[in-house]
Amino acid sequence: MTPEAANNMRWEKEIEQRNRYLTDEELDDILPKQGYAIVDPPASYVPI
Amino acid sequence: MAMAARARTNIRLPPEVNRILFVRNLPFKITAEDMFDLFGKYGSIRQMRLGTAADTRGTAFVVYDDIFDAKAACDHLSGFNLQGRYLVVLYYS
Repeated sequence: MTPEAANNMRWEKEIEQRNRYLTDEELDDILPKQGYAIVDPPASYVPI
Repeated sequence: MAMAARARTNIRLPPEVNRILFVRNLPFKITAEDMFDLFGKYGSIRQMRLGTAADTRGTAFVVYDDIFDAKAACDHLSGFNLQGRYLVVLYYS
């Protein structure tokens, strides 16, 4: 296990941690609800 | 594919980069469709909140699924001229 590989593993883990799926409740805790409307995607929106 | 892209970039992201973008200076009459067209180009959007109250109009929160998409969107869209207004795109902390 070269140092670079170890570093990469640590970075990957960190990125995974920052990229984990956020549930709606978590989003509601993070973002203000007051004064903001949750907008759902229009029919034409196709996630790439 | 995303994993391959990520493995190839393999860059470390600064701590302030995250998936929630706070957008300001939006035109008041912007529609969800315009927002999704503009921000959807950079990646799949987890959730979007548009300001409706008096003090929050013209601002929005855009949450991406992938942190690299959010970074790409922020890099490309900050200063974007939308209907005569320059967008301010910040990472929400």
